Amino acid sequence: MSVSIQTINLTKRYNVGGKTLLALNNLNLTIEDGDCFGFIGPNGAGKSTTIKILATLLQPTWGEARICNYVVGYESRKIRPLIGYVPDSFGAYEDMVVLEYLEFFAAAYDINGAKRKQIVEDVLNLTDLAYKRDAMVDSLSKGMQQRLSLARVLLHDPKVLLLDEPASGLDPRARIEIRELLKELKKMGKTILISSHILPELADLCNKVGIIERGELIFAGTVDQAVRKVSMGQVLYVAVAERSADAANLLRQTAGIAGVAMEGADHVMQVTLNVEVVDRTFIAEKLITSGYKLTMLREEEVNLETAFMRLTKGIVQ
Amino acid sequence: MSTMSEMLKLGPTNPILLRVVTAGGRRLRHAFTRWAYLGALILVLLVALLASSQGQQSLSELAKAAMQVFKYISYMQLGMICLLAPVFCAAAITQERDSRTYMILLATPLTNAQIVLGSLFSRLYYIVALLLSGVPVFAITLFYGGVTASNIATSFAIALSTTFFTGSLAIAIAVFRLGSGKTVFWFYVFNAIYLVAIYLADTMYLRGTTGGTTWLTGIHPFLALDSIVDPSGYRTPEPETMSDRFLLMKWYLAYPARSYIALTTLASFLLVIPSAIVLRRIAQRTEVGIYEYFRGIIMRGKEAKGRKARTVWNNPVAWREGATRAGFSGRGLTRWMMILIGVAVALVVLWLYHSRILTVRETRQVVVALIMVEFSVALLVATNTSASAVTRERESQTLDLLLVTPITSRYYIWGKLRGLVSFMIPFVAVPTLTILLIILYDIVASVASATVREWVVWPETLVTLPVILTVLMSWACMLGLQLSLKWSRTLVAVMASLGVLAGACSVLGVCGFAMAVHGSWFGIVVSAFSPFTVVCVLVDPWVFAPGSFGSEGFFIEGSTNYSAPLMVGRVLLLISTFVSAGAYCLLVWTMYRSMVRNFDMIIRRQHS
Repeated sequence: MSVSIQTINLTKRYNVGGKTLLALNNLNLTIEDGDCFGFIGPNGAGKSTTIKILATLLQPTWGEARICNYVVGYESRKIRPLIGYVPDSFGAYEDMVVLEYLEFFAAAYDINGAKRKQIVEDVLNLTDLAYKRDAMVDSLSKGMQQRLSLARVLLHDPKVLLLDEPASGLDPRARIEIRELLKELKKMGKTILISSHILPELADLCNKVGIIERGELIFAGTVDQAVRKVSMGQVLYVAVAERSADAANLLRQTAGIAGVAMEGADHVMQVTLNVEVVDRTFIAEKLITSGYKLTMLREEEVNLETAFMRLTKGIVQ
Repeated sequence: MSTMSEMLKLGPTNPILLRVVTAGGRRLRHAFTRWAYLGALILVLLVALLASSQGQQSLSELAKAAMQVFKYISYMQLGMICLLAPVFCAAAITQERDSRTYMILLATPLTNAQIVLGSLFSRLYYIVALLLSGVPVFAITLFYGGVTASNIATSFAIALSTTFFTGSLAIAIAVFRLGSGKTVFWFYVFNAIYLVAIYLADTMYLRGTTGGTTWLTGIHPFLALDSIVDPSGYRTPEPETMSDRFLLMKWYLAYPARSYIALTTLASFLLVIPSAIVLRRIAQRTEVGIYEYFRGIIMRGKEAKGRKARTVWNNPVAWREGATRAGFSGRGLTRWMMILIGVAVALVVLWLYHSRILTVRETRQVVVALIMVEFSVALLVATNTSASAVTRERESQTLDLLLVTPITSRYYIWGKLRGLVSFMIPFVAVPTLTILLIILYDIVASVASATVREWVVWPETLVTLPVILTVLMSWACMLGLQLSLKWSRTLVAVMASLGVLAGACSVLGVCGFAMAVHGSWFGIVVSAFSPFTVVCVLVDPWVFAPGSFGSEGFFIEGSTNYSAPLMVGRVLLLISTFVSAGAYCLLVWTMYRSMVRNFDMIIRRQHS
């Protein structure tokens, strides 16, 4: 499978009020054709900077960014027809209706005549905006504006979509609609790089994720790999009907258990197993044979959110 | 204690003012403005001192010289205030666009008066600081005698009251939601028109009849200042000589400077007090400004529902500038209104000429005045529109969307220029139509009466005028575009463009009109390169190029309208106009090339 997006030691420094701000620090990223890559990170981590560099809007201070093997900066003119960029805010021209807005950008991609009319119709239908063709762009709801943004980037049928927080500020219905639309695009074989703060949706949509903090990529891989990486300690939640403190002491003395902590008023024990432990049945066995009435035994639920919280420190520059 | 604290919050401890005062000192832009202001003041002082102290021996001569110096720096101070006050107060008008902070302020326990006065004083703070920094410069004139502390205090009071009025007007516009960001531009234009029109009315018509100050002196800052700095040349009448007037009028005419200060201060209070009363009521009642409210009534909600889409040109950038701006937007409406008024006035002039109420010479003068007004407005609109062309895209974040498309800088700038020029074409069409009507009338009248009539405007003007106007309009558009690319904020770009345009036209105008008076072929050739001179000379060469076409001019020999020298002069004027148009085309092309070359670098630097 060929690589659609690649960054090699990508570094970006900003000069803010005489101070140098390191937005990206040797970022190495590889996204293959057809991947839907979720880009996660705290505010100010460097997500938008990365996307802007890939969209040819910014020049890196150091390193290299490639789209379909074309180098950003040197071959930007070849890159632009291949990408579709949705910024974090909707850029609306005043006094323009939806159809004009799409025709305007179609003309910018040198799509003219009957072909332009046909393509605009197609994307309007794909994004369910056909009934809004004569509506003023700035009168649309935020959800519709985001759909219009997606319609705009589909006009020239780009290979790569760069979406900077497309779901931010949307209501639940609009978010779901956008997610469904993105799933459609994924099915169409587009390579998607999407940054978002809504992690469950990213987990649902993306086959790969990258976690960035302070300009450094701290993880890149599938969602499962992210989950596995943070669930290495193996945590179980255990509860007994009575004498919880004694049960906790018993478990602390048991081989294979790294630690036991009491949680909350209902005396649930958070039991951390040693890394090498594979078979966990010994915990239930030990408690029952010691006369305790076991009321709960469950594994800690690890998802993308947990992974994100464990992998990042929440430090911004 | 609580009442005292609330009272103090109206002024010295007002949180809005305190924020501006504490932050203002750190802003480099304001420091530069202060340095530039002081530098200009000191330069004028030094030049005036050197010029007026040469050969002065006696104390009385020195005192006279000091008065002259005081006059120059006072003019300079007031001129700078008139220039800077609208810029600094503009934020009050545009604050509504940043309504988040506005709404937060309204939600605090601050009273209406505290918010209004805080906003006003924070706008005025920079100007007052600027004025105060000039006090030592003015104090120098005291050493020579002739100038009294009272003179200086009055000069400062005129400047301060002007600033206070400008600030109050801006606050009232913001509170009553009478405008938007565009208002700043028109605020400036009307300010300039008011200052020039009243000054001309006083100096050209009224001053002649009274020999001194007039009833206009008390409502114009420069005339009021004139009465202080030039008491012998611009005399005020003695109260005793006006026994037929009632007391207030007598005082108003006898003390114009004080009247000006009192009137502007009173007007400022009249603007501020209602603003303070209705601030929250207006904010609660409606989310739209009065302009939008009336526009909504006219449009009857059509905009919200949408409308039929227009056909987008193959160059979308040109379409955006040329077609969408000309639609039923504020700018589009202004354009059509100007055009309709222009055509209506041209028809009235033609009727007056036909009815012989106006002679040929008078008709020519009226046509010159009409075309000059239309040309000035067109230049202002061209500069304003083009100066906001890139900045508005940057502010609405649509520029990024275009930059990721395959559109190149050459294509983008060419599209902008093409669109702007096509937007401006109707402005050029109106003066051309005026000329066409007059020329057609002359032709028809000549044929009907079978006599050779004196042309109001030479027929070749029908070709030269639209050509030169279009080229000059393109030059103004290119100038605005260049500064729009350079500056990231619309207001700064518009003000800078207007400043550069006014400066260039003034310098070229002074040289052009001086050369047009020159009595040889050379004067005609050179004056064709000055925008305003060439337009005036094309329409009325008899008045504006008297050295060449006047009764004793270079190209007049014999008395016929078609004498050989006159024809040579006309041909020379025609050729000079085309050469000038070519030169401006070259200038536009050079500016375009430079913009294309630097576009990526400037955009990239702004992004970084």
